[in-house]
Amino acid sequence: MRRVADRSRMLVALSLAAGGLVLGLATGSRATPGGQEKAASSGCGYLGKGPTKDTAGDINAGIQACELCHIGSTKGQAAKFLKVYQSDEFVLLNESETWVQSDIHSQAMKCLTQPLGKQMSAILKYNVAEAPQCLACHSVDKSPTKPLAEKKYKDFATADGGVNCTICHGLYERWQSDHYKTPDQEGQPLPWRSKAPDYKWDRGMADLRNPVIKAKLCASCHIGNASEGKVVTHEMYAAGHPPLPPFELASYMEGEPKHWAYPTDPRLKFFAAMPAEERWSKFHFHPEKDESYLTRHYAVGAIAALRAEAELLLVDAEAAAKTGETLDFARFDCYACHHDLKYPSERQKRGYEGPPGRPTLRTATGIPASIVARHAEGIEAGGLKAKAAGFEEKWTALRKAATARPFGHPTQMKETAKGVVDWCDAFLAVQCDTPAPLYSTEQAKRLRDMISGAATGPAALADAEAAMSLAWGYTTLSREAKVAFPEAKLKALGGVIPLNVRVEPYSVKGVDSSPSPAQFPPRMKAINAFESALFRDAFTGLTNGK
Amino acid sequence: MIGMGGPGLFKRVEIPPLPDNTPLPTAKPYGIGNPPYAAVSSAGCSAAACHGGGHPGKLRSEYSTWAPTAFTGEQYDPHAIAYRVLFNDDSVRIAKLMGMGVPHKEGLCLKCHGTEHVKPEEAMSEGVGCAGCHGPAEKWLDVHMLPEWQALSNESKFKDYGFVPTKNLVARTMKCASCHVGDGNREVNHDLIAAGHPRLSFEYTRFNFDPKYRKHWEEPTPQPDFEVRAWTVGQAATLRAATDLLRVRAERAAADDAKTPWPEFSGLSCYACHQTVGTGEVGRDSGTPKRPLGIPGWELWSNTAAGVAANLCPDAFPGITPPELRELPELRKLMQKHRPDPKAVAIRARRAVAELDTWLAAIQAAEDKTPTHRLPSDVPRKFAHALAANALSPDRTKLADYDWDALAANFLGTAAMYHASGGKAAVPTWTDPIRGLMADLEFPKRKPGERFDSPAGFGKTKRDQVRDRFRELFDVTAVPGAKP
Repeated sequence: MRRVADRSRMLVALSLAAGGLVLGLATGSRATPGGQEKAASSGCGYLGKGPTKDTAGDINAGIQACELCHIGSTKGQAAKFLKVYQSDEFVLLNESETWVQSDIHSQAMKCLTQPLGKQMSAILKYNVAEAPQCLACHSVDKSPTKPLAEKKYKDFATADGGVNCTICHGLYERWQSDHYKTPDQEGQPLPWRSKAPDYKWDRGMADLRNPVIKAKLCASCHIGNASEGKVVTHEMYAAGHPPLPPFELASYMEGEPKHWAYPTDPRLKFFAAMPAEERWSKFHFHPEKDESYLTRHYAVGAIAALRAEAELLLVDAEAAAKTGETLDFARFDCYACHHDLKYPSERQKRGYEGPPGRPTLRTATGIPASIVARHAEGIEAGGLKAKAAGFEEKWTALRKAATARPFGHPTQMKETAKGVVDWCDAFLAVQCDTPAPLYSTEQAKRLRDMISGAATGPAALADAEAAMSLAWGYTTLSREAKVAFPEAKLKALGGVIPLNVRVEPYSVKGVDSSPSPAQFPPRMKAINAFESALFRDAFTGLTNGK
Repeated sequence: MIGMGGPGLFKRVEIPPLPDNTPLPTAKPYGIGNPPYAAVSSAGCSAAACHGGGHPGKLRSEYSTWAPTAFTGEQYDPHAIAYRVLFNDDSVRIAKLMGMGVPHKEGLCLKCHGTEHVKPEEAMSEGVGCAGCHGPAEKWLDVHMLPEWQALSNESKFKDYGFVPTKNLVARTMKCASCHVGDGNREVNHDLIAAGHPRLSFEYTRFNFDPKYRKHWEEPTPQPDFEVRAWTVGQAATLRAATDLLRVRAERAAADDAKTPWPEFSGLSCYACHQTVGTGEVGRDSGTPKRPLGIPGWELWSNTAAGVAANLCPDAFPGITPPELRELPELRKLMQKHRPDPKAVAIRARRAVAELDTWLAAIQAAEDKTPTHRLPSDVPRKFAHALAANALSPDRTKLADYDWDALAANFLGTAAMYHASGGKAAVPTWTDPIRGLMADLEFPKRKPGERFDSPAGFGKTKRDQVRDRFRELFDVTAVPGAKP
C-alpha cells in the first residue's frame, strides 16, 4: 500500500513536470532533440527547433555501427577515414574502445542486475532492471516524447551496458549515415564536420561541444530531471541506492577516461586551423590564451547543477502543495540528517542557517553555484555581470523556504525555486549566446582564489560533499593552469576526502559485477568521518605549497 | 510510478473517513496536569523536624537525601541540579542557537528545569524541588501531617488538594512523563535537540534504578512485583504522554501555528535518520517492519514494547483485562508519511489517548488497592519471554524491527525483568544475552570529553548479534520443558 502511495506521489510530481507546468526546459538536458519542449528565449535558440518524431531505431545495431569506426585509428573502417579524411585531427577515433574498456558509464545496467540491484528489487518489490524509473538513467530512453506515465520497459534500450553512445550523442538513426558521408569531390573534408550545431541537432545529434548542453545532460542523471523520469527518491535510497556524489563538471570531465579531446588539444589540428569566427559559432570554444576551457565548464557545470536541483525542488514542491505532504526527503542534504551524533558537535558549534533541526538543501550544489555567481559579478563581457546580480537573494530565499517548515514549505519553495531556475536560465543563456571569451587567464585565477577562499575561509565548511566539490574543482582547474601541488600535500588532502569521484585505478576489464560496491564506500567513509578543521588544514596546505 | 502495472496502481491510497463520532471511553486516571495551586519552595519542607533530618537515606531525611551536599562525590538526586545546568556552556549555546535569551530566565527551559512559584534567590538550590513531583503545597502543606490526611483517598489528595500521590505508580510515572516525555505545556522538540538538548528517552524502571539516583523513599511493594508493575505502568504512561504530546502538536500544526514544526521529528525514531549511510547495508536486511521504506517510525521508543505490557497486564495486575487499543495502530498508520495530515492525526491521537487513559485508570485503581498477595514468581520470566519474542520476527529468523529505538525498548523491558528476578544469582542463563544486548546497543566510546549520542556503527553485524541474543533470551526464558 505504502509503496503505491509513494509511487503515486512521484507520479504526481512527474506528470506535473511532463504536463509542461514547469517551463524553462528550453535548453533541456535531453541529448535526443526529439524530446525537446518548445524553446523559450533563453540562449542556444536552435535547441528548440528539433523534430518531435522519435526515431530511436535499433539501438544495438546503431552502437555496433559506431564501433566500426570509433574503435581505434588502425582498426576497422577507421583506417580509411584516418588516411583519406584525417579524422584523427577531428576526433580520437578510439571512442568505443575507451568507453567499453574503461568508462564506468558502460556498466550502468550491471548495477541493476548485480547483488545491489537484486537487493533493491527485493526491498522495493519491483524489478529495478525493468522499471522505467530506474532505466531512465541506467539505459537509453527510446521514446523521449512519450508521456512518462505510459512508458514501459520496452521503451528503453538496455543492451550495450545501458548507458551507451546514444544516450549523450543522441538517438543515432537520422544522423549516423550522414555523419560519415563522404564528399562529392575527392580531396574535400567530410561535409558533416563543418555543419552548424543546429543542422546536426535537427538530425538528432547532440551538440556536446556546447558546455551548457553538456552540463545539463550530465546533470539530468547526476542531479536529476523530473520531466525525463530521472529522480532518485528517498525510498530508492532506503532500499540501497548509493548516494549520488556531488556533481562537479570540470573534475568529472578530467576524471573520466576521455574518449574525446578538447578542441584546444594540439592533436586536433582541425580546430587549430579553424577560422576564428567558426570557433565559437560551431564548436563553442576559444583558444587557450583567450579562455580557460575548464573554468568555463566549472562555471556552467555549477549553475546547470543548481538549475537541475532547483527544478527538482520546484516540481516536488508543486506536488507537495497539492497533496499536503512535504517534499521528498531525497531533495535535501542527505547528511543534514544522516550523521552520527557527536558531542561536542561541529554543527552546533558552527550554528544553523535557519532554525536548528531543519534539514537543509544540498550545499554541495549551492556553494559552488554561489561562488560562480559572485565571480560573474566581476565579468563585464556578455552582460554577465548584470545577469549575475541578485543570485544571493534568490538562493537565500529558496533556502529559507526549505527550512521554514521541516522538509520545506511547499508554496514558498515553489515560488523561490522558480526564482532560482529563472536566474540559472538567464546565466546559462549568456554562456550560450556570448561570443566573447568570459574566462580569461585572470578570471580563471580569480575563480580559483574564490574557491580556495570558500574552502579555507573563516566560515567553517561543515559539509563533506561541498568540501569535495570545491577540492575537486580547485585541483582540476589548478592543473589546467599548470599550478603544481607537492605530492605530500595532495596526499594529506586525500586523507580527508577522496581526490576523485571515481575510485582509481578503475578498469571495466574483468569486472563482472556492478561497479558501485567498490565505488561509494571510500567516499562515504570520508563523509562520515569528515571534520571541517582537518579539511581546512589540508586544503590550506595545498594552497601554501604552490 | 511510471509503467508499473497500469493506472489503477497509482491511485492515491486514501485514509478512510475517521470514525470520530463513535463514543469514546471516558475513564481517566487522576494525576494529569498541574493542580491550580501555588507551589511552596523546598525550604518549606526541609525543616530538620520534617524532611530535612540530615541523615541521608533515613526516614524524615527525604530532603537531605535529595539535596546535594557540600561533599563532592557524594550522591544526590539529579533533579536538584536541574536549574543549575542552565548556566553551563551547553545550555548557553543551546539558547543562543534557539535565538533565546539566557536559559535560566527562559520560560521554555524553566518549565522543566525549575519549579514554579519559586523565588529567584531560592531557584539555585531548588532545581526541580519537592513541588516539582509532589505537587504545589498551597493547600496540603498544613494538613498532610495530620491523621485525617491518611484517611483521604489518593484521588482526593490530588483533586482536592493538589498533592501528587506518588506512591501510586500511575500518578507517579505520569508526573515523571510530563517532563521526561512532555505534555501540552512543555516539550523538547527537534529544533531544541538539534541545538544541543539531549533527546528524551524515558523508561521508568531504568530511571528508577539508575545508580546515580539517590532515592529518598522506599517502595512498599517488594521485588519482583514492584519492577514488573513499574515497567508495565511506565509503558502505558510513556505511550500516553507521547500520544498526547502528538495530539497537542498536531492540533497546533493543523491551526497553522508558526511556532510548531510539523512534521515534528522528535517524536520519530532518532537513529532512523541519524546513522551512517552508504555502507551498502540497509536495515531491511535485518528485519521487515510494516513501516514503509524510508520513513522513520513514530515513537518506536514508546510503542514497541507497550503491546507486551498491554497483553500481559493481567499478569502484573491480576484481575485487570488487557486494554483495547484499537486507535493506536490507526494512528501509527497515519504517521507513516513524509508529512502526516495534522488534522487527522489530532483526531486520532485524541481517541488513542482516551483508550490509554482507560487502561491507566484501571491500573491506577488496582494500584490503589493494597495488594493482598504476591505475584507468582514466574511472572518476570513470562514478560522477558514475550519481549524477546516481540523483538523477533514470527519465525525468529530476523528481527521484527531493526530500528535501534525498537530494539532498545525491548531490551530495556527484558533488563527490567532480569533485574526484578534478582539478576545473575537468580537467573544465570539470562546473563549472557542481557549483557550482550547491552553491549551491542551501547553507543561507542570516544576519548574523554567526547561522546557519541547515537549508536554509531550500528550496522548489520550488530543487528545480527542482537537478533541472536534475543533468540538466546527467548530460549532461556521459555517455560522449562515446554516444546519450542
